[in-house]
Order: sequence, then structure tokens, then C-alpha cells
Amino acid sequence: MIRLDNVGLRYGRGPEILRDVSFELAQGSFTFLTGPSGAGKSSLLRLLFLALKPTRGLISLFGRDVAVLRRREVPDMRRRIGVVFQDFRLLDHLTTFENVALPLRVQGKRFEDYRRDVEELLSWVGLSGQADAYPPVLSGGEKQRAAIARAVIGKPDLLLADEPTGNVDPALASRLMRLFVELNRFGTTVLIASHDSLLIQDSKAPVMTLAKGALTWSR
Amino acid sequence: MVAVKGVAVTAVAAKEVAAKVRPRPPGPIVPTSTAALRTMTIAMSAMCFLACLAIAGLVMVSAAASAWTSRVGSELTVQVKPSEGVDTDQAVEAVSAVLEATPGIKRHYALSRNDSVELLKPWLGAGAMLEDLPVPRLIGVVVDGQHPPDLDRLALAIEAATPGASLDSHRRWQSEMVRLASALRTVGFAILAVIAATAAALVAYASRGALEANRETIEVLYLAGARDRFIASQVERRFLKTGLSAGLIGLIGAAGALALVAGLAGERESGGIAAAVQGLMFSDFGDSSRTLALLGLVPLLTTVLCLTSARLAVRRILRTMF
Repeated sequence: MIRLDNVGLRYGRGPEILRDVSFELAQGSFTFLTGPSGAGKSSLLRLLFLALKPTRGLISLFGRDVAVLRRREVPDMRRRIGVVFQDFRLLDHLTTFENVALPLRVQGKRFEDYRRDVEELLSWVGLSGQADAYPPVLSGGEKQRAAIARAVIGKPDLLLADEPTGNVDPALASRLMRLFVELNRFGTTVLIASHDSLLIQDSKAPVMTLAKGALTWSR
Repeated sequence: MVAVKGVAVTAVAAKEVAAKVRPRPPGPIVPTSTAALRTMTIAMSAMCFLACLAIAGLVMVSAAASAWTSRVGSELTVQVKPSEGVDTDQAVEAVSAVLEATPGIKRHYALSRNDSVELLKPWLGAGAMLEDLPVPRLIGVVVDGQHPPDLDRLALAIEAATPGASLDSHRRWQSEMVRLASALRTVGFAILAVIAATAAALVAYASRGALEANRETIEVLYLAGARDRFIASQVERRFLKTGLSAGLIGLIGAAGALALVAGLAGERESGGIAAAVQGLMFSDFGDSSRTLALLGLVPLLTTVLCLTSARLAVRRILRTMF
């Protein structure tokens, strides 16, 4: 599903953020990525959702080497990846409903066809009452839930989440984790970058730790 | 009254519930109104307004020039100067006979001595001296525009018929007018070119600014798996609206300004501003439809300009992603 071989990344002429990172995630796996702030977790996720190209090394996604991916092939691959951004990246001029429905809309699906799915998911993440609200009036936790709903609405093959429970209380965090576990049970590969040691301890999932640009495995 | 109010409140509540239960169909993905796009609409409206006025001016100058040259070109004047030992009346008759015999002349009319004196009075005064002066006599000649006479041969024939007679074909005036009209036309085209270049630069700059303001939206769409074509179409839809509305506002504004000029110019006198402006829209069907088509091109070209500029700006942003 995901394979990285000796991947290195640097921004411009700066120091190397990631150094010789190699790992492989099997299809249907559930993995945590942790490490101190600035260790390169977000950069690694950005490499995986094709927002960055590595400075060196090989990245293979769904059996394809991303270095030889044609530009017009990228959207199809991206549609198989759901991303929860640390800063949510909700569009302020769209309602919560419209933000969550965005991945389906860009695929050309009709409102009548996706309306029920979006409503169900909004209800699941506890945002039914905020469907018509705009992001600026949502709390941090509500924004996070909307961002998660947007990432999973397309039933992606791979879910990448950057600190998905950072702004919610423990009860809601465990509810959101159940959503990820449920998705994983249906075959979605999940990689969660998190600082939340309690959340990681509660889970039996394998953990990758990034420190000073290098990767180690535990569990 | 209370009951009516109650019904209204219930209806509003029901609407609110319905809105909660059924979210409305999604609106445009790219924000419909941004400061950059509003500025662009205003600036482009002004450009279209100026372009329409420039086109109207060009059409009026062209129409006026062709009217002047055709009128001047269709009339000739024969001047018979009095000379020693020659009876001027006989000389005028001799020239009239030559004109009569020349094919391509519709009609001719000789001014009497009194008419000629009247023409000179404004310059020389109404003194008795005019009666004693040898006043030249004029013969107006209207030529057949379709089959004009050979003017060089006619001039020779007139000079041969009587000494002191000469043919004035107004060619000098005609060529001056043609030169003036062509200079005005060149100025008009130069103004149009400047407006077009300014508009293109303005649209390029404004669309780049507007899209940079929407970079977040474009990035999120891209990360959500949108194809370049989809993103471009969403942006272009917004710019289509901007271009079309700016073009139409400019066109309507220019039409209003021209109507105002026609109204303020007062009586419709031949050759006046009012006549020229009215002639612009209500002349022969062929002419006015051509003018309207030219003016209609302005909103069309503005829209194309906005769309092209938006497409280029979107591509530029998308190229920076992955």
C-alpha cells in the first residue's frame, strides 16, 4: 500500500527534515506516527498525500512510484486518500455541509446522490445542528470534526490524519477514534500522526516515532 | 392580526426546520464576491465604457468623412472671370453650352451678377463700389456620381470655350478632408489600442490578485482530488460573470452617455453632433446594425479576455502544486 525507501526531504537549501526514512504499511493496517514537534511528522504526511515531492528516495503509493506519476493521474490517486489537516483547511465561504461534501462534489457526484451520506456522517460526528453554519462560527472541536468528516466521506483507501484529536475532549476523541477504527475495519489503511500519548497507549496499533528526521518502530 | 402573525411565525419556523433537515443545494465553490473581483468589475466597466465611446467616435468620424467627401466630390464650380472685351453673360452662356454637351453632368445653374455681388458683400461691405467692380460669375455643377465626367477634359473644354473661365473640382478640399478623417480615424484606433492594452494588463493583474486571494480554495480543491479542468471551470464561471457584467455595464453606460449628448446637442441639424449621434444608431439598417454589432463585440471581447486571463492565472497556481 505505502512504501518509502531512503526518503530524504529538505526545504530549499535548509537542513534535511527527513533522513533516510524507510517503511512499509500494509493494506488495511492501522498505524500511529508520533514524535516531538518539528520532527517532520507533518512533512512526512504531506509527502504521502502528494503535496510535496521528496528530495531523494522512493515513495510508492498503491503500487505506483509517485516520481513517475503523470500530473493528470494525481487527482485519481488523491481521491483514494483522505486527509485530516492539523489546521483543518475548511473553506470559510462554504457551510459545514458543503465543506464535508467537497470531495464528492469534485468527483462530479450530484447533490441528491450524496446528501443522505453527508447528513448521516454529520450526525455521526455530532454536527447535524451545524450543517448550515460557516466555519468561522464553529468551535475548534467542531472544525476538527468537520475536517474529519470531509476526510472520510469518500470512503478512502488510505486515511492520513494530522493530530485529529488535538482540539476535542477525551470522550469525543475516543468517539472519533472509533470512527477511524470502524473505517479501518472496512479496509481503509489508517495512519495517524499524534502527540496524544494516552490515545496511542489505549490503542494496540503499531507506532512509528520520528526524531531528528529519522524513523524508528515500536510495538 | 395576531392570528395572521401567528401563521407567519409558524411558517417561518417550518421553513427553518425544513432548512435544517434539508440543506440547500450547494452554492459556488469559488467565493462569489471578493474585493479583487469587485474592483476588477468596476475597472473593466470603465474600460468598456471608454472602448464603446471610442468605437462610436470612430464610426461617427468615418460616416461624417464619407458624407463630406461624397457631397464635395459630387459638386463642381466653374468660375468665369470678367476680362477686357468679353461679355461676361455671353461667356457664361458659352460655358453652359459646354456643360450641356458634356455627358455625366446632372444639372448646372449659373449665379446671376446680383447673386455673386450678394456673396461678396459680407467680405467687401455693401458699398456702391461693388457695382463697379468686375465681379466673377459662378456656375454650380452637379455631376452624376455613378458616371462622372472626365474632369481634365472638361476643364480644357471650358477654358477653350471662353478665356478667363476655370473649373474648380474641390479636389484640394476633398483631399484635405480625407486626410483629416484618416488622421481622426488613426487617433481613434490608437485610443482603442491603448484601452485594449490597458484592459488586458488590468485584467491580468486583477485576475492574478483575485486568484491569489482564492489560493486556499484552489489548494483545498486540488487536495480533495479535483482535476485541473474542474478547478479551472469553477474559477472561469466566476470570471465569466465578471467579464460579462463589466462589458454590459460599460455598453449601457456608453449608450446612456451618447443619448445624453444627442439630447444636450439640441436641434437635429444636418452635420451637427445630435444628427451624428442619432445617425449612429438610427441610420440605414445596414449601417446601424454594423455599429451595434461592433459595440456588442465589446462585452464579448471583455468576457473572452477575463476568461483567458483567469485560465492562465489558475494554470500558473496549479503548476506550483505537486
